Amino acid sequence: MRITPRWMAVSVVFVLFGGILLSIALGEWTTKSTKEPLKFTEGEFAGEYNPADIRGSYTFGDVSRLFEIPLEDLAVAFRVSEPDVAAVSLKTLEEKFVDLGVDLGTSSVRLFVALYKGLPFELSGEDIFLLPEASELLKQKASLSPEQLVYLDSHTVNEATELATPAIQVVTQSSEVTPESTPALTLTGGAGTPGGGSGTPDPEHTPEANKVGGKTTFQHLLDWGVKQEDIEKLIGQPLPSANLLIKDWATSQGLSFSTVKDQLQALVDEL
Amino acid sequence: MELSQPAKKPIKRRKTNRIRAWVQLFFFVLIALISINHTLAEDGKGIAFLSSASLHALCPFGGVVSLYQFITTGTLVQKVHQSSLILMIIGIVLAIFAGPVFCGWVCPLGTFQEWIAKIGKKIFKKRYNHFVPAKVDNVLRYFRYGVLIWVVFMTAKSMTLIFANVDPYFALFNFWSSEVAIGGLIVLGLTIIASLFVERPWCKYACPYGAFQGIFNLFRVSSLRRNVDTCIDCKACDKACPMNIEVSSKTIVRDHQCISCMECTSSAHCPVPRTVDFVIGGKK
Repeated sequence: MRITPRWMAVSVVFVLFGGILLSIALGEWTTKSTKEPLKFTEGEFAGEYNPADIRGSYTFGDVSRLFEIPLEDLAVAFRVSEPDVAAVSLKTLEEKFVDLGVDLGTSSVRLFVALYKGLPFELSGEDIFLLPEASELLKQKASLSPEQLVYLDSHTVNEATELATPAIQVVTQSSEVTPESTPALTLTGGAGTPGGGSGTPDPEHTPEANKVGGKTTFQHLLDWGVKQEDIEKLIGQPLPSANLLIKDWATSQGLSFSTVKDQLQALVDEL
Repeated sequence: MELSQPAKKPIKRRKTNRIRAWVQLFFFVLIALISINHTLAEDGKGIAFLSSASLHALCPFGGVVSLYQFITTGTLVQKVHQSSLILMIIGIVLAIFAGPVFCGWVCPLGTFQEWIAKIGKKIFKKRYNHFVPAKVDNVLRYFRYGVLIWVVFMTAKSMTLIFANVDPYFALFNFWSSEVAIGGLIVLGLTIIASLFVERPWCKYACPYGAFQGIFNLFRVSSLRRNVDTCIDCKACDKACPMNIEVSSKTIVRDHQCISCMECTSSAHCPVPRTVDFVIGGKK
């Protein structure tokens, strides 16, 4: 039997859409996640859901249901203020906490769930941070090993309100959960950090103020009259190349530009 | 005068397989609209009667790369959905019946490359699609099997959709979205440039799903046959083939690169009726 293009076209459309319609009728056609993470297959926790497989498309409701964690605890740990906590998607966290300067998103939920439920969790070389509320909750409700406590302390975002010296500290980080090599990245003060509230005047409302922005270099700060030692004190290291964009420097140090910018702006505003 | 002489005379000549062009356009527009609707739906502005599925849910290759994890754990790779498995099965059914028809009739990336090829053909005329030396071309055509093995292995190992980082199909329909990886955009850009010189370069040399579908050419139910008795050896079939298969030298075409587009057949470019045809069964 000869197949003409017309027959081929009809066959393709018929088989493709027929197959889809059949699968819809059988209830097998789903274009959204199954919302069921992998389970541990061996060991003490065999059969339990693996928190490492929690995905960004999950909602807090999914996490609560799958891992039997009260929604109230998840809401506190991740500062979920929306009325319907269960409907909030995990992938919104990263954007919500972007100003913190550290990755705080789905991986943070995975870590929190693992520690909360006492489930195994491999860090595989990445540094995962938690909010202070989450750390406190874990210390209260979970039974943590000394090693986990050390990791938790060094991976809690510190949002102190006062300006410290140096204000921004960056210490080389390691993924090993050992007391000797605990990573530390502390952000202190700064109007840009949630809860910071340093009370610095808003440059937007000071017309004559020089404004620190994405195109500002360290040289600009010096030109505006900011003392070199004040800048060095704030950034916690000798002044880099004066023509370096502050934004590029912040990025190279793994810091949130908005936080650095706010603190430098405070120096400018004090002039 | 020999009796067979009239049959050797070109009787008709159609330029293109217009039905295929319309089917391709339909699927391209459908996928583009769904992808746009997916973006709109994320902002709560989606069109109600149109699917807002992610492109990962509408790609049969997602089913192929998920197979290992699905068999061993019963779950799918991240971002892949059950619809991908269904589409994979449909793709296999079609391929068993008629070879990689999905590539030749449905795949919007293949369609897109063919549209770019029209520009290349206008620029380079007869030189188009003949830039790569045959020896190099023959070797390069097996590269896509390496890509297929690498993607399936790495996906099974990492349990993540690593191919999304270089996927030009996803990039084509998501270039406006933050979801698209820079690697995907680069590969898409290279594919567009290469399409000006070679027809369907991605399909020929790198597409892992094309490699998977191509295997079915070896044992598909229907076959592409050339009737040597009526063939006038004009080589119109060779020139029409986007995959550069030398149809005129074969009686039955079972080339792993055939995309079942039917451009070489008597219904399209072959000028002699019933000379190059897709048939089911042993004889025409």
